[in-house]
Parts: sequence; structure tokens; C-alpha cells
Amino acid sequence: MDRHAPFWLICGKRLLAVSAVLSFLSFTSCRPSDIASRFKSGANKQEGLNSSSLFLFERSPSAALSNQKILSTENLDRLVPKSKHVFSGILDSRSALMGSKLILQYSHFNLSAPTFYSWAGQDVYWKDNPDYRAFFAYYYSTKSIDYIDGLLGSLKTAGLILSNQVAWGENMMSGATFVAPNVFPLLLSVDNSKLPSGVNSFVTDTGYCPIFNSNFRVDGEGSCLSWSNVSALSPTDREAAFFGDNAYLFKKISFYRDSDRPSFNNVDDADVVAHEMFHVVQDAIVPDVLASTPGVNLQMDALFEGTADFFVGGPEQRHGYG
Amino acid sequence: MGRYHHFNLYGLIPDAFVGTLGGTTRDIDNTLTFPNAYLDSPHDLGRIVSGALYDLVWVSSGNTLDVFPSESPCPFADLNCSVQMGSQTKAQAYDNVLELVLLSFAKLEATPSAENVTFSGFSKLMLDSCDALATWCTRSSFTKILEARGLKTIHNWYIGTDTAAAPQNEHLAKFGDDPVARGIILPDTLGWIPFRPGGSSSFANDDQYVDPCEAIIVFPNVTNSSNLLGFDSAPTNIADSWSTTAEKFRGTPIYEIVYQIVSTPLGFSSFKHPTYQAYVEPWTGVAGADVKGIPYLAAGESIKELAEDEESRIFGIYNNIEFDSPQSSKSANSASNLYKLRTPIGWLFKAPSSGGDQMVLEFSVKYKSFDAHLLKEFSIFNDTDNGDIQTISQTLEVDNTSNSFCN
Repeated sequence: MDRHAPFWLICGKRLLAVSAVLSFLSFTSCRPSDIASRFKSGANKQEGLNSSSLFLFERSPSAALSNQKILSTENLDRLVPKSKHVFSGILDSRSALMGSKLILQYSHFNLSAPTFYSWAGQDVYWKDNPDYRAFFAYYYSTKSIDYIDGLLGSLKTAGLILSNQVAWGENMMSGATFVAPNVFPLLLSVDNSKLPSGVNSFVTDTGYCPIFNSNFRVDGEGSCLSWSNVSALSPTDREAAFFGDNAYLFKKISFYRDSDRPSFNNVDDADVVAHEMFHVVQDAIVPDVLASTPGVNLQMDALFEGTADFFVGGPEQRHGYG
Repeated sequence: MGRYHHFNLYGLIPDAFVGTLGGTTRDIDNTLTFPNAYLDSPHDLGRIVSGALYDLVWVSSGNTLDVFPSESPCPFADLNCSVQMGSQTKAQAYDNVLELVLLSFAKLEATPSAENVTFSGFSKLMLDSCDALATWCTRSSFTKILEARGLKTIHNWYIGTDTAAAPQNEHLAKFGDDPVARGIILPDTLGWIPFRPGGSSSFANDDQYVDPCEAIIVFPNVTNSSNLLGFDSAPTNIADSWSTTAEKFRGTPIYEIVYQIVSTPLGFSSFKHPTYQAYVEPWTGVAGADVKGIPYLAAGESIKELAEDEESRIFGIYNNIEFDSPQSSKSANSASNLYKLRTPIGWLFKAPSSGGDQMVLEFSVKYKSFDAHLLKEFSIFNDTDNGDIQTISQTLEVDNTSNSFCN
């Protein structure tokens, strides 16, 4: 204590010290509600890790809301409920999201990806969140792949498809060495709005499509659902799927209505993912035809697109989208 | 069909339109058929494919589908348009149909022929796959679905040498006199061949001139130079086309002559004798099933070429034939009715007696695609200026330097 200090000053300092202590205590105190919240969050994360789950929109926002007109510009995080999605095949939950068949990356400029650990058990928000797209793409792509695996397996078991006819499933189902190049691991780049300089649009370079050097993309209307030859962008011997984001103000991808369901649209749409994944299937099963017909043979192109449309109903019917 | 036309299709076929207008959808549960719902976009056109596959799911999961709900009678040979295949769960039905698709793709990769990369060819592959998956799939029922969707009967449609051209379809509907341009070529000169009953005639010769009083058969001078190859260039007999076992079909750009003789120095009407009409002879089929069908002009053919070939389907002279004016295809539900459908395309004339006289024939050409199996006409294209019907006059001038048959 400063013996020469005036009394009022000494008292003032004491008061300030007491006030500071009280303030500190008020900030650091563990109130019962906070404890519960943190405990719940921790429990959710643990449960998410145990069950390999987190929360995303189910199928699509427009499907969830039965509203075809909903746009991505709306507050979907508030409007659309999320549901628990159980993930499979993740190689390491603490590493960048990757499975035996899928590799995720944010973009061609950002080759990283979120870890499952960071979002395990959490409600993954959608708005401007590339992590959401990464998980969404991984989940529904895996769903499609697993479904196709089962169908191809049935055909092979029945002896209707020979092993060397379908490069797609060789290493997955039997682990056998195969001669034909395999489409896996499939690279999913979830933000195709970030293009290298000099590349304005993927769709400007349509035409001949190298079998294992092609890209599938999903984005806004008009140019959506096309594949293009973007060899400069594509990792060698890998399929790459692109799932676009906010390149378009109005994202209207509207298709795939089951007879008892409303049609819907949105870029964050499991049906769009499944549709594009079926193009990957086609690339694996009919590589020569797929490589030779785009833009040349309208009928064949329509067969590819129509079957990809139809495919969407399969995993939806068989496995659900939740 | 160019982009401009494509986006204006909304005004023409709003039900089939998919584009940027509100409320559009790519819906696998649709009733779109080819080629009525044709759009120059693989995604839009693909809806017909997905719709057909969904039909298969529908009928194999306990439901019944009337594949021609607006057709009466049902155009199939068994007069049964109600298709039902099984009663599986919808999920199982999806699995099955997707397996069928995958199997068909595997077959396609094994045999990527020019035919198999068409709707028709791939439909056949799917039917073969159906046979392989016969525990749930019935070929005859699936065939009806594919035919009703217009997928099975289209053969080489759009497989031509200039498919890279854009817009790709406008020129197919062109009428004109440009031999280079794709489309229906209508020169100003009338078509004709010498009339020589039994292979010879004292009333005609083989030179390239129309002589005074020469006996000639006159016909519209029409060439189909489009690359719309039609449903098949080698049709089988009509009897087979009534059954689901037929493998080849004929539906092509056809012409239909609506004839009117407008002027002639000799009065053409007096020469229009039923006995000497030259009829379209659609084709010669197997024994007992000949002379049936509907006139057509396949891609690459000209009436003149067919008329000069006595073995061709187009040339024939018949007596005592009951002739009706062209009927709607729907009424042609029997072989006998088909027999009546032959359309007169040419007339026997005695040429004018004076050199320099002109014969003028006015007629119209209707440009349609025709599916001979379903007996349905399709109007795919519209000429920008004229629609799908063109009226034209063609003229033939009598030569004034060569022989005369007037005496």
C-alpha cells in the first residue's frame, strides 16, 4: 500500500481490484447450463465418432420442404431440418476426408479437405461452408457407389457380366488385379467456381472426352450436368467430380420426381450427385461409346442422360437418403 | 434444330418443354414419347428414356400401365395396351431395372455398332437383357413400353454424316431446289419416265426428251436428300410389322401427294384413268404379303429413281384396284385397309402434240416421319417458312426437235 496516497485513492484501487475479481469470476464461472451444453456437445461428438455420423440436409432442401421454388439464396440453415447421416468407408477420421474410392478436395487450388473428426456428431451448417459440400458429396457419392456395387455384384454372380467387362468393380468386389484402368479413387472437387486462370468455364471445351481424364460437374442451370474435357485440370487416371456452389444466383436443377414425391431443385441435391455418379458408372462400363458419342450422337447422349436420371430413383428407393 | 427454335418450342409444345422457364422439371414419371417430345438436348430427350424405364418399374411393381391411353383401338396386334409385369416392391423393381440397364450397357460396350448406339438398337439390347433377366422381365410387355415411348422403332434416326452440323435439324425440313442442301429437293421440272407396257411400247422411246404425243408417266420430281434415314431402310413385310417379333420397321420421311392438275394444253383430266395410274408400291414382301404399306420416300431416294426401277416399290400399274384417298394411319389397322392406302403419285399422259407445249403439275409434299409399325405419323420438323407441307408447281416442256408419236 502506498502510505502517501490519499485515502480515496486507496479505497478506489481496492474497489477496482474487487470489481476485477468479480468480473473475472463472472466470466469463468461454470454455470450449470454451460456445463450441460458443453457436456452435450462433447457427448454428441463422441457419439458422432462412434457412429461415424453428422447432420446434413436430407436429400435436398427443396425435397425436404416440398418446395421446388426454393433457392439457395434463402436461409436454408434455418428453414431446412437436418438429419443424421452415417458415413462409411472413411479411412482416417482425423485426416482429410477420404475413402477407398473417394478423395475429397475443396478445389483445384485448395487440395485439402475437412476432417470427419472436426464435424463428427455436429450439425454441419450449409451457408458458405465448403465443409458441408465435402461431406454431402462424400456421403451421397458413396451411397451411389455402394448401390452400384451391389447391382454389379448381382449381375456377376449370375454370370451375366464378365469380370473384364466392367472395370468399375474389379478391385472393390474381389480385390483381384485387373487389367483395365479403374475409375477409383474418384476425386471430388466440391468447389468448381475456383478455376485456374485462363479457364472460364468447363463447358467451353466439350467434345472428345478422354475416358479417364474427364470431369463431371454439378452446378447451376444450363451448364449443369455436363462433362467436359478439362485435361489440364484433372489428375491423371482419375475421374473427377465437381460439385458447384455459388457460381449462379439462381440454382435450379429440377428433375427426378418419383410418382409420390414432389420434384425439387437445388445444387445441394443428392439426386444431382447420384446422376453424375451414374455418368462415372457409364464411363466405367461403356468407356469407348461414352468417349466417342458426346455431342455427336444425340440419341446415345440422351440414353446416357436418361439412364442417369433414372438411376437416381434407385438409391432413393433402396436405401433412402437419410 | 437450333437453339433459337429450341427455346421457341415452348410455344409449340409446352408440355414437352424443358428449359429455363419456371416450373420445368426433369421428371422420370412422365408420358413423353419420341419423337413428339423431341428436343435438341440430351438431357431433355433423355427424359423419354428415363420415362420408359420408370414405366418398367411401374408395371413390375404391381401396377398396370395403359401405354396408349388415347388410342382406340389399341394399335398392337393383340389389341392389348394394358401392360402389367409383376408385383415386386418398388425398391426391388428399381434394382431389377437398373441391373437391366447395366447389363445393356455391358452389351453395348461389347457390340458398339452403329445400330446399337441408337434408341432402337439400345432398346434391342435392353430387350435381350430382359430375356436374360426373365425371372421378372417379360419381353413382350417391355417391347410394348419401348414401342409406345417411340424408342424401339426408331432406327438410324440422326445417324448421318453431318450430325456435327448445327443447327442440326432445320435443314432436314427444308424444301427447295438446292441439291447440296439437306432436305426435300423440289426442282422446277416435272418428273417423267416413258410408259412402255410390257417393257416396250410403240408410244414411247428411251431418249431423254418428251416427244409430242409420247406416252409418259408423269410424277412429282421429288428427292429426299435429308440425312433422316428413317426408321429403317430395309423394311420387312407389313404382316410382320403387326407383331412384336418384327425386327425392322419402316417409318420415314414420307411424301403424300395432294394432286391437282392446274393447266394443260390437252386437258389432263381425260388422261387420269385409274387403269393407268402409277401407284406407290411400298414394297414387296414375302409371298402372300406383298403390296402393303404406305408410300414413303426414304432418305436419299428420288421418285424418279424408284420409278425407273421396275423392281422398286414405287412403280406398278394395277387394274381393278379399289382406291381410297389416303386414310389416316389409325384406320389402317388391317392388311386390307393398308392395301387401299396406296397413293397415286403419277399419271399416264399422252404428251402434248406441239413442241414447246408445257405440262404443269401442281402438288404438295407433306414431310412427315412415319412409324409403320405403330402406324403413326410424326411431325418432327417444321420448315421455317413453309411448315411441313410445301405446294409447288413443276413443268415439263415438250421437245420440238425429236420424234413425234402423234401419227
